[in-house]
Amino acid sequence: MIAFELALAHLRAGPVRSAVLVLGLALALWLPALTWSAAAELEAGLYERAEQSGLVVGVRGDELDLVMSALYFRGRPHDQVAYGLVDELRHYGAVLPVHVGHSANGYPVVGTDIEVMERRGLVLAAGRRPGVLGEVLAGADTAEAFQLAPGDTVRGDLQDLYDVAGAYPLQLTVVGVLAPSGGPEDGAFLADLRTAWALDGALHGHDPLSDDDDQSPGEGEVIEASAAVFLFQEVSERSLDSFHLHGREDVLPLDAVIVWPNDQKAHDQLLGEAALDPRYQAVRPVEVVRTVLAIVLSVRDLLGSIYTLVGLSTLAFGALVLHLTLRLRQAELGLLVRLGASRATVLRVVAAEQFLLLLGATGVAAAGTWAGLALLETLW
Amino acid sequence: MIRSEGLRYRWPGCTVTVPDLAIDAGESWAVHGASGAGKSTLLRLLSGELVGQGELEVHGLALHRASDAERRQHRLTRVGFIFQDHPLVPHLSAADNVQLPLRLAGRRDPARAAALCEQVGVDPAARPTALSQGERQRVAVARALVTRPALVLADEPTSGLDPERTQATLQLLEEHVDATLVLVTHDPAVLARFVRRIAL
Amino acid sequence: MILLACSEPPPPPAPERLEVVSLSRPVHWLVQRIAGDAVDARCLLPEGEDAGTWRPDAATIASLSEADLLIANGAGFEAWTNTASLPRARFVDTSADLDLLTREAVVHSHGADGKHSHGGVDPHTWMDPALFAQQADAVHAALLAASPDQAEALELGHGTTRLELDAIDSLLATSLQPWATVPIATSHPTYSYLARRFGLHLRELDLDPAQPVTTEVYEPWLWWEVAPSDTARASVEGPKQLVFDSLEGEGVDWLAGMRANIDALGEGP
Repeated sequence: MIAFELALAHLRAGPVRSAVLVLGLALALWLPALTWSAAAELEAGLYERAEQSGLVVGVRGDELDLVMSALYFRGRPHDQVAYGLVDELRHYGAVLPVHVGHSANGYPVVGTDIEVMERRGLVLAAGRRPGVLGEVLAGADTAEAFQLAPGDTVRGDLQDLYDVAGAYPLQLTVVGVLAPSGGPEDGAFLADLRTAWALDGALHGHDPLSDDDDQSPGEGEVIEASAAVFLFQEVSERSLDSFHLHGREDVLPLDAVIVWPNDQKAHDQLLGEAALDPRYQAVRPVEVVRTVLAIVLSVRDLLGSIYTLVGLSTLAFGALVLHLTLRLRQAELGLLVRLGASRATVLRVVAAEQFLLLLGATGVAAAGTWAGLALLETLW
Repeated sequence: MIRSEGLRYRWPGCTVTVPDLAIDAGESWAVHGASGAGKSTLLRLLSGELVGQGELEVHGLALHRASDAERRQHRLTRVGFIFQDHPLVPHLSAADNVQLPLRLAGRRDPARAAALCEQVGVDPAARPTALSQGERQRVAVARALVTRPALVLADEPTSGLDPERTQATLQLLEEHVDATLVLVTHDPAVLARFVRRIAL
Repeated sequence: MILLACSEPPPPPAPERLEVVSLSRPVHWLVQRIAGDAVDARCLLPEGEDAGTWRPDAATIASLSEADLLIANGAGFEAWTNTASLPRARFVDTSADLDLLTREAVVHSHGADGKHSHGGVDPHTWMDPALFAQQADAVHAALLAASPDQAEALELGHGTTRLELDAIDSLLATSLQPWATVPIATSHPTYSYLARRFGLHLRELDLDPAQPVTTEVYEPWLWWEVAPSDTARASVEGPKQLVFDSLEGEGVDWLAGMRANIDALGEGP
């Protein structure tokens, strides 16, 4: 209609002015939109993961550290629990051990049970599941970051740069790539627990410890291993069978055990037992996440107040600009009236222009929000 | 076509009194007088933009009794006005400016607008800022004619034009035989072409 | 899928059988014996392979995670599982609660397959019917937990198997009683659990059943864990020989094999 035509013509005639107005409005809209969307997505993502994760069992201490490491593979609790705990907890329901002490190329290497695929609904996009020590699965994002495909190798990162003697930078082979799942597995490597223990150095392989090739350490014989013993840093057909443990698996470290109790009774029992046991604690991830979210949301609300002020000031400037523009366009708008347009028509022309500006600003703000969320995702 | 009786308009400070009019359709009249005498006021009364005292009937519409909407409609569809300052909408092309009265009335005829532009010798696509004063004036004339009005009111349409252009403009106005023309001028050369005159 | 009208409703799908993969032969026999057709049982160890030397490739191990239950003898018999990635919740180590024996390391080879050593734990748990019975209990418990709707059939199978194992245990006790005072040389360190249970005195050698024996055998008796070739048998001078099968060969039925071993023992040394 004529109002929109005239409005559009006027906007097109002054492209810079129009662009500045649109961008100014867009900025005022974009800030709150992005903040709100980001907070909402974070909330949903955290909640979903927490709700799908039963109970988390780990060392007594900071609950947030425990949940963040077990569910989101960020950081490590201050201490570990023993693997033997897993068998103790098995009668409560399905259990999943989690070891997050290592990384490769900066991405966490999560030592766990192959059951994680079924538990978290993960699907292979390429390759196969790990079969032996040293084989890992790469999450969708991890694989993309380094262009990894089945057959490629990565090396475990040195956790402590100055502890060269305690480092076991094992070479890991990517045997499969996971399809995107939208969860923290996308940005990690998944491995069997034994691979994680190999990275710890607890499980290691070396050539037989003596000059005589036919001798292996037997019962009662103690052979001193010197620093000259070469530890295998690669798991190959030749070296695989030599990998062994000194001692039992029961005492090897885990960062957490995730338990999905069979029923409410098992759930309550586990919480009850954990409350009394000095070795470990059992936490409900949803509650821990809620605490984190409370902080995020209060920040969001604070920002919201600031944005409201920004919005008001933008509105005030917008009103000023509008007022001045109308003064400038008095002759033109007066002409319309003299030609026979009703005042209503003139108002419609002005309103149409404001509407188009707002529409443009909303579009730019929406695009900016989408781009901002995408950027935040890569950072997080 | 135009009948008035006792028509006058009170401005703050002075009153414009209009001699009783009896103008028939198709006639061309010139209005002349000293500046400040009210020549523009008369045109604005005839177009319905201003409402004065006394009776005024234009093309069957009793303007002194008509509603705002009726007067606007009258202005939009039955009157073509050539304003003294030739105002154009700066962000519309010449052809779009010409088409404006049609668009405001809810119709469109881009072909006619473009044709009129060419008739008056102006590039239909040109922006007003790119036109000379004379060219703008010609666009204003074309705009006044686009709705095929019954009454054309022209306020000093030839001011600032050279004698050639003046003649051409008057010719253009005269070509529209059907319309009644009321023209304000202080140019004796223009006045000379008119037989019927109103003196204010 | 195009559904045709006017057809009978399809029969309800047969309940899926549990997929049970045994990682070595003795426990595979137990699974078959206890579960019968109630489960879909197969043995991972291919024909012709020896559990001591065979290891599945990584891709085969990876595919094991699709099975419902993985049954292992444990006690180091399937050494490759120590470095494998297997679903622990579905992995059953039937020797986990057994009182296991450790032994000296002896490096040797089995012909072309290359050297291996038997350091650490002795895996031959099935040679002692009492231990094997405990393993049967473990198999039964795992099958029952995974397939409770088959409880009846499993109970029956387990009960029968236990009776059979107990019967063999009695027969063996009787047959081995006169052997407790005789020094016996063995072709392979297979009989430690038997020795512990029934008080036998064994000297473990490393003899290739296909080749002539070069080691000196002083004992009055030599037990072969598999039937030796004629050359091998003939090359032994002095001791009397019998075959006490180690029951880990392909297609071996533990029950029939033990009965044959008991027959071979005869009345005594």
